[in-house]
Amino acid sequence: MKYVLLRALIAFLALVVSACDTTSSSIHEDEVVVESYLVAGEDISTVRLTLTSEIGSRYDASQLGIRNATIFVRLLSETGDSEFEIEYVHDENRPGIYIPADPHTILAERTYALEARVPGHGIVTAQTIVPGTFSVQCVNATSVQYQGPVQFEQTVTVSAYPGRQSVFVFSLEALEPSIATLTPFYLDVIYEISSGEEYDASSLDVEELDDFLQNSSPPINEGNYIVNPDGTLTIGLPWFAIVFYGESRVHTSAIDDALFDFLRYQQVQQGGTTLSPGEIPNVLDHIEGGRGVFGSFSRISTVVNVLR
Amino acid sequence: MKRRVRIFFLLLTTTAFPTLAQSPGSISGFVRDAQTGETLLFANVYLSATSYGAATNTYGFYVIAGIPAGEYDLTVSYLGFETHTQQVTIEENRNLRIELELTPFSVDFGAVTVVADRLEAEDARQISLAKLPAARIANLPSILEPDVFRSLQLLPGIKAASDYSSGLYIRGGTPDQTLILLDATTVYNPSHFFGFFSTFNADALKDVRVYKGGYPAEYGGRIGSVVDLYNKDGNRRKTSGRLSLGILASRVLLEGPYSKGSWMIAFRRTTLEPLLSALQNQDIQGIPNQFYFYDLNAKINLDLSPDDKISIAAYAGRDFLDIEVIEDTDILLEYGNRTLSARWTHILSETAFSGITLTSSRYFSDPRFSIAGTKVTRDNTVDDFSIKADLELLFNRNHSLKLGTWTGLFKLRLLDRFDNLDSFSERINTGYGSAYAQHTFLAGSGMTLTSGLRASYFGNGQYFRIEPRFSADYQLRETVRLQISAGRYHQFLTLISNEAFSGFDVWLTTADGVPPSYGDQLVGGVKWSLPRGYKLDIEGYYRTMTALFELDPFVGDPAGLEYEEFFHFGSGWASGLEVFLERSTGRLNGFLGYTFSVTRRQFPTLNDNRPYPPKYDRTHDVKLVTNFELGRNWRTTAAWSYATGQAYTEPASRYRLNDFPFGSEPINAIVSPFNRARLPAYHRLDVGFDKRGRFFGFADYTFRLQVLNAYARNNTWFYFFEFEDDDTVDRTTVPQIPVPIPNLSLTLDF
Repeated sequence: MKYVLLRALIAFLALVVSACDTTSSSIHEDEVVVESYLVAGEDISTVRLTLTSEIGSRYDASQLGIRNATIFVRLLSETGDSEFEIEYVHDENRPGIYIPADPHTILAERTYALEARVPGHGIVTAQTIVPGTFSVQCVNATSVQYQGPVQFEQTVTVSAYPGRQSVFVFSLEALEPSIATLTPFYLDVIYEISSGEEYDASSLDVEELDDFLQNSSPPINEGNYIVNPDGTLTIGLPWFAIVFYGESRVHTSAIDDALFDFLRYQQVQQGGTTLSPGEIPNVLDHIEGGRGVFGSFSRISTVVNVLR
Repeated sequence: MKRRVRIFFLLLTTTAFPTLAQSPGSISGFVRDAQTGETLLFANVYLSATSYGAATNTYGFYVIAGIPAGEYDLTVSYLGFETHTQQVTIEENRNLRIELELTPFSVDFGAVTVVADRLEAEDARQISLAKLPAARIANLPSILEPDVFRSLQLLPGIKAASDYSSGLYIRGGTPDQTLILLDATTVYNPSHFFGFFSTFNADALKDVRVYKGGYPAEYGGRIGSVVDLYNKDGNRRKTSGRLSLGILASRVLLEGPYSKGSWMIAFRRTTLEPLLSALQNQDIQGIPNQFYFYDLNAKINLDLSPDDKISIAAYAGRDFLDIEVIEDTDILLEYGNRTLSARWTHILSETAFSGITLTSSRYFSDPRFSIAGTKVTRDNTVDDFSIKADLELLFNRNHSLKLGTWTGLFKLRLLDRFDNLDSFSERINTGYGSAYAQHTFLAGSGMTLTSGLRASYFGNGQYFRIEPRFSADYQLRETVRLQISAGRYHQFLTLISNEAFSGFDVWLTTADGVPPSYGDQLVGGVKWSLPRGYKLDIEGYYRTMTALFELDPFVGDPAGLEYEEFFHFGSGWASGLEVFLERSTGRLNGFLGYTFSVTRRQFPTLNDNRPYPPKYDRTHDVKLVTNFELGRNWRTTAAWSYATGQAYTEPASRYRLNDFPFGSEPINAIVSPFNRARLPAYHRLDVGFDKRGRFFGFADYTFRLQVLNAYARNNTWFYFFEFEDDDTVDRTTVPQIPVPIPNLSLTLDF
């Protein structure tokens, strides 16, 4: 027994070396990616068709654009029949982008279906139910002092969506973006400059601001807000959403299931959930035969001026 | 299910009707450490040259019944103590009360001889039971602080998710599938430093037992395993203490006797303030304004009579972090646990033992964020008040019965606020209760059958569940035991947590539409006592995990959702083979553990509803732990771990939404088979050296130098995939502890 430990160790090591896990490398397959967003009350939008790209290669949208597809978008009746259809034509100047042949204004609370026939990739289909339109009843101020006693609030009517509460995405579009108008938090986030620290704006890369020109929230449920007696919702603008002093346009969008699922799944891909780091689930697509988003939303917009 | 219940009752009826004839004679009493008076749990007490014997229970009490009149040698043995033998005379129909005391081995290991094969209590070698003496925990190399759970992670079948996590992943189960008990009280977040350390101060502990699976009917509430920890009772002979100064934290333990019993108090706190202050003075960014954790263990024992004892135990722990990561932010993180238990043990007769325990456990987590003027807060508390009653009856030599109940009130309060509005609120006040009966039958020819039944009720959702348990132990030869156990287990709670950070942990419960999860376990094993103090344990297991309810990671914002919509429901299974070779005595001692295991989980929202290996799944796992006494005053310790790679997701493809309407830039998504790839193999060596001696004549000192990751293995924790501005995807390796971490400590025992 003198060398029991040593012998056992050698035996186990031999076993381990001979029976290690095989690591399977992931295999890329070209899949069709649909991208189109219908906005209630606005003109029907373009459709972009691209292919997925192998993870190790450089992404090039123009190279990946699909040029020879046949695309129709149909408005469906309650029974699922097509009330009318719009054919799309490829824009030869923009590979992969298809333009509707006829004008059409998107109808809220109606179902639209997309069908794309892609040579070599079969038929790709998707549907979206357009969220109901809603409106701004009033705002509490058009101008607020940053982190002052009054926060910007808007009172809005409720958007309808079948089977669930409304889900919103809030976007703040900066109308006066510049390094000089960055709020302290974002000045540190983007350029690592603390308040009171002197800096030369001309030496900073202004392109770093591009990611923040339109700052959007994750999907936020209607249940977060108190319903007023008249059925409206009062929605405040949190201070941390404000990237730039000055005027910003606040877009409030009520989104459909396709956008909702894409956003919440894509967010999980970035980590920070109950999944372990390194576990990356696929996005839940509402596309048959491909990937991407054929989604819709209703939106309202207001402008607020944020003073220093 | 009905068929299984019928089989169970058949087993119960064939084993549960003991002959209630009067015992010819019996012996009972407590077994204690002669130096401190601490009761010794699971010590082996037996009559030499007979088959009569018993192990002390969790109170340190033993009973040997059914002994024919005559003269015997009564022997008691316990790991780390000198075996004690004394002559006893048994008379018919009389109980002999004998309080036994054992003397610890001196530190002169050169004088230690390997003692009999029955050195360790047979009870401590129950199937799937691992026992870790507190002294061994203190000696193992550790990351800055001795850590109970990290020591447990060295045992076969118990895995760590990463170097940064003290969470226990036992036999394919997640940490919430393990019941953590400290002096019979449930601990809901057993971590410090947001998961980096476990919460238990090794100085304050007397004993740690882990049922890795197939656990008996006296436990319940989790579908996986049980970690049962016992605080020290306190020195009953003299007032003594221990002071430990370390890099991260310092600890003090005081214990002693008083007229009616003993007391113990242990306190530990981080001592990082000078370091943090120095770093702040150098204007280094990201240094916390304040960071500390502490814990306090206290216990007092009151001997009302030789047959009545009361003990009151308390624990309080808190972690606090105040940090400003970025301009115009403030992050305050605070969480901790409080437990209080009062236990009355009463010896009803020479063959009946009872215990009643009142417990109170609180877990709280109150993170506060202020980000650019927007406040985000959470108030999260769990309160658990319970009463337990246990009765142990020894009918005769062959039949014993354990009965018990556990009834309580579980209260959860969770309030999330965002920008001064309630964004999510959940309150759960529910009662729960369980009762069990567990019968042990010594069937003769070395066969021991234990059958049990546990009935559990949980108020939220009004779920009543029956859990049959069975185990058999067959002594094939004097040195070989064959064991098997099986059972069904239910769980009414689930934990919302993250492998990398436990500071925001939230427990949720079953409810209408959220039924309890359950699992079946089958374990088989052989235990072999080898010559020269070696022991070999081999166990195989298979377990199922059904109706798992876990927070749906894709819920995002829970506001306005129905309770059942928070969850996704899934299942899983795990199987494995564990080999454990141990030598507990001699100058060179330690153990070698090997685990082969496979774990699969299945949830509709992941991997297209196909089974997948979770990240903590590792197929092969080897652990080698050695202690070597270099001389009277020097000792070395080494722990080497090897494991094949954990599962992870290697992206295959990507796509981009170029015209995405929300945000300034296009948005990217990854397409990949879920967790189909494996990280590189993991291995790490930790070493330690101890120097012992006298400290200026008033204390014994131990100076400890330890180095973690001694050969600087750069193990991979996970890969992070980032979309770059040049339209490529960059894979960044996030390492486990990549460099050697030294640890110095000085411990004084006085």
